[in-house]
Amino acid sequence: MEYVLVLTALGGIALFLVFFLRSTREAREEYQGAGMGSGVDDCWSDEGRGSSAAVLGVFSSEDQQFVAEEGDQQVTALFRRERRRLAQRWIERQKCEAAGIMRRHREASRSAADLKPSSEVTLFLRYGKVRVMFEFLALSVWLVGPEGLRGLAESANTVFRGIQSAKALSGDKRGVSY
Amino acid sequence: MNRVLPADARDAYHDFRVRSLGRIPSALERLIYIASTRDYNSGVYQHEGLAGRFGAEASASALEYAHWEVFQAVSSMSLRRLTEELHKYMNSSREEPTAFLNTWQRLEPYRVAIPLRADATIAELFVSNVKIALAVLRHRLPERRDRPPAALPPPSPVPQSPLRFRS
Repeated sequence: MEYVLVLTALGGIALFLVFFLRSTREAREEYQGAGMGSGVDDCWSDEGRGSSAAVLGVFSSEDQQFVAEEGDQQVTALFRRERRRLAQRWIERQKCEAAGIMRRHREASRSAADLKPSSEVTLFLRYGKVRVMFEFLALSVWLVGPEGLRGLAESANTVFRGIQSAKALSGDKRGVSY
Repeated sequence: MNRVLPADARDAYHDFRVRSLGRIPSALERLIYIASTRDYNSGVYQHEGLAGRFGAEASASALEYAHWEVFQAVSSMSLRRLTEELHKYMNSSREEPTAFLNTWQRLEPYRVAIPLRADATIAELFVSNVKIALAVLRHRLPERRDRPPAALPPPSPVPQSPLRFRS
C-alpha cells in the first residue's frame, strides 16, 4: 500500500515538473520567436519604468476585479489566459536579460585588470537570488495565476534592477539597459 | 524629453501637442491619430503642417516622441478605463457596434498603434488589454440588443390569424 502511495506521489511530482517546465519553455520560445530579446536599448524608457509599468499591469488585481464584475465566463477565461501568458513571458524576458547581463559581464571580466572579488561575489549572489525569485514566481503564476503576486513580482524586479545598477556602477556600460 | 529630443523637435512637439492633440478628447483617439501619421512601410512619421513649420526631420522626431508618450499613457490604463475609452471610440466611429467589434477582433488594427520603440512587455500588455476590452464590449452588446424596440410589441404566444379568419 505504501509502495503505491509513494509511486503515486512520485508520479504526481514528475507530472507537475513536466507541465511546469513545458509551460516555461513555451513562454521562452514565444519570447525568442518574437525576436524581442535582442535589444535592450530600443526603448526611451530609462530607469526601468517600462518594466515597472508592465509589472503593475500584468499583475494587477484591479483588472481582475473589473473582469469579475462583468460576470462573463468567456471574458474571465480570456483574461486569465492572457494574464498568465503575459506574466510567463515577462518572467522569461527578465531571466534572459539577467543571464545576458551576467554573460556580458563574464566576457568583460576576462580582460579586466581591476576586478574586485567582493563586488563579483555580491553580483553573483544577486544573480542567484534573481533566478530563484523568478523561478518561484513562474511556479506561482503557473499554479494560481499572476493576480495577487504583484508584491513578489515587484520584489523580483527590484533585485533584477539591483543587478543592472550594480553593473552600471562597476562601469561596464555594455551590460546596462538604457 | 530634453535628453532625447533636439531643440527644434521639442518646439514641434509642443506645437503638435497644443494644436493637434489638445483637440482630441480621449487618449485612445490621440494614439490612433498619431499612429495614422506613420508610414506603414518606412515607419517614418509625416505631418505636412508640422513639417512646413519645423522641418520634416524635427516634425518626424516630435511625432515619434508624442506617439511613444501617448502609448505609454494608454498602455498603463486600467482595463476598466481602457474599455471605457474603447467604448467611446466605437461610438464616435459611427459604425454599427457589431461591425466595429467584428473588424477589430478579426483584423486587430490596433496593432499598428504600437510605436517602434515600445517596451516589448508593454506592447504585449496593450494588445492583450485591447483584446479583453473588445471581449467585454461584445459581452455587453447583447444586453442592449435584447431590449425590444418600442414600436413593436412582444410576440403573442397565441397565433392571431386563424381566429380572424373564423370570425
